[in-house]
Amino acid sequence: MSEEYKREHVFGLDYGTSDFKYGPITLGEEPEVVENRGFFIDRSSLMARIMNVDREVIVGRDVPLYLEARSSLSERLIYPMRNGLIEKDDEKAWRVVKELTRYALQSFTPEGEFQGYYAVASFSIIAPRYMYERFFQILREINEERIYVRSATIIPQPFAVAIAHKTPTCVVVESGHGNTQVCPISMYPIRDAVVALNRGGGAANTLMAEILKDAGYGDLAKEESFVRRVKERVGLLPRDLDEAIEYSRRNPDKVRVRFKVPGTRVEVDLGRMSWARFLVGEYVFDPRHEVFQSYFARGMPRPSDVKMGDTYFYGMMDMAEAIVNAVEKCSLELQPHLYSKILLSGGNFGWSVPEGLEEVAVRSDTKIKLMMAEKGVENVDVRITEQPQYSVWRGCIVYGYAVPVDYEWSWERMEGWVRIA
Amino acid sequence: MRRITDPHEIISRYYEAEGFYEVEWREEALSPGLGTLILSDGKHEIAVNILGEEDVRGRGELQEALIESEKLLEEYEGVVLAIPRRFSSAVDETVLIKYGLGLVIYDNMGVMEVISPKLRERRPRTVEDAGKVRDSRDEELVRLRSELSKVLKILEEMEARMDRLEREQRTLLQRLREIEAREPAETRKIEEAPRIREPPADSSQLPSYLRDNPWVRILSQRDRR
Repeated sequence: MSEEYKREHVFGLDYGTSDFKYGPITLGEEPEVVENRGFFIDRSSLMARIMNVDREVIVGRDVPLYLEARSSLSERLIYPMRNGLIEKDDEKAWRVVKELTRYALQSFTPEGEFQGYYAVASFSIIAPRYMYERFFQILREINEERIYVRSATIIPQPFAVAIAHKTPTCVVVESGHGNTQVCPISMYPIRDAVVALNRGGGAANTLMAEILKDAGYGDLAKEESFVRRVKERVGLLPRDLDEAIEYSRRNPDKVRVRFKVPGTRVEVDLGRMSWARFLVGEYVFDPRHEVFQSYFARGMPRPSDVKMGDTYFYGMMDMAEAIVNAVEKCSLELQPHLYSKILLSGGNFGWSVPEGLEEVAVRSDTKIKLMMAEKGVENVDVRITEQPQYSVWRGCIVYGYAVPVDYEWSWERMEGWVRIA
Repeated sequence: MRRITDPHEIISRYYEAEGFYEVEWREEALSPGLGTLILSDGKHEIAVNILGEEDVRGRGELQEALIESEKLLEEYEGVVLAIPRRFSSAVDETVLIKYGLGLVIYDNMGVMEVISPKLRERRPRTVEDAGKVRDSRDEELVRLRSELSKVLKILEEMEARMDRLEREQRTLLQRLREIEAREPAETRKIEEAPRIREPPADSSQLPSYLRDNPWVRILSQRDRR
């Protein structure tokens, strides 16, 4: 198969924790996006009978049409990549991955003679080998219907981010819903130097829920989607937490915020608790401040050190320390180059600075710079990735476009093309 | 919006909006419970037994409250049990319907009527079979309510789907108009498969992330190491 054919038929698949981004190179700048989830339908339900559904799993844009009572959602609505990992025997999650992959490929496979795409999928850097093997197997199973994929490969998400941002040597910090991964990159992802944290957007949601309970919104704090929206609108990242709390006490009106949930009668006003806005961002970056102890004492789970697959996830390590630890696992010669470019990727770095609070609130890049300076690392160039939701898919496209068609997969390098058809 | 936290006030306001006025508030008249609220709309007088968050520790308290409410049926034309929203699943609605009791659930955000109270004449019925007729009608009512809620849900889902289709149609029409406005009429033509197109041959037409990307050179040399 020619290099030219491959370049015209690269297909990117980004299995993010919340969204699944997919599509061929011909889409240009932006991929298609659907939620990375599947709904296991009750075939005896009235809706299934009315819609004449013969499938067991619904994925893509039709999922909301089949959702039933809230009580059944936890069993039937499966987010397979919530933590970036799928257990080996989690058949439901693998079923969703298969249906999503089929859905993506079918959406763009032309009628008539077609020799298959060069599919580049992207998984979390901590994905173990069995996930790679199972994914290649899934592609072979899908190919039994007709040829969708000619060859395939898998690259780690931080690697794809570095590729999309045209940066061959850097540290990528990818912070998703369940965890945060710090991955140094120098032409290749340096897998031995990866440091993972057991904190992500989900941990900030947990703290936001506690703050809402304290402010008298305990009844609403049970709804995760509501808590996430409040966090995104109300949460702040402090330059220095102690100073921010002191500032809030001196200037309660400046820090106070009201948030009305669109389309509802609900309005959140933290009132005297408004200083707690600064805790939400700080918790993601550094949960060791004494103020968090009172929340742990009242039953909020403390982020713990856990081992998932082959990777340790640190619960209480601050983000700058994680970056320093990851970089210091690399050669001395390389370390200054890695510090010189730190890419922050993922929705967990989207903290904004409201007008009037510039003195005490900062963006993620400034916060990391300040934290790195405290560790004695100066002159770091920290950047928040542009359009982070598309970075990984774009990296997949560049990878498939550039890597030669005859570069065969190697389990040692974890790179190359696996022949599927 | 001021948040109201007193259950008596929350429920009283709800019924005011429904056309009732408060006749009397009998605090701690109910055990367990916060009290009994007597309301009237000029024609009917109803009693609302309000249970607070602290009053319910298990099903025993709920059953006790039901018995207390049932006793009030002789005195008032309608009787309603008001419970915090989080206990709603602990109440067997069929029992309340069977006895003609109403049920409302509340929280800090407001009140929702789950079962309307059966309004009756103060003079009790004397016909022997009236009870049996009422039972069968109540069962039928429960069945119809269940069927109706299913149909409403399906309609909502269909409505959402229609909305989405209409939005997509509007977007497509808008795009079509834009394209037509840009191109002269004689050069207009319909592309059969606009999504599946050839990637641009010259590099200036490549997507921004591919243009001048050093990784293209690095990755293209992978097999030559």
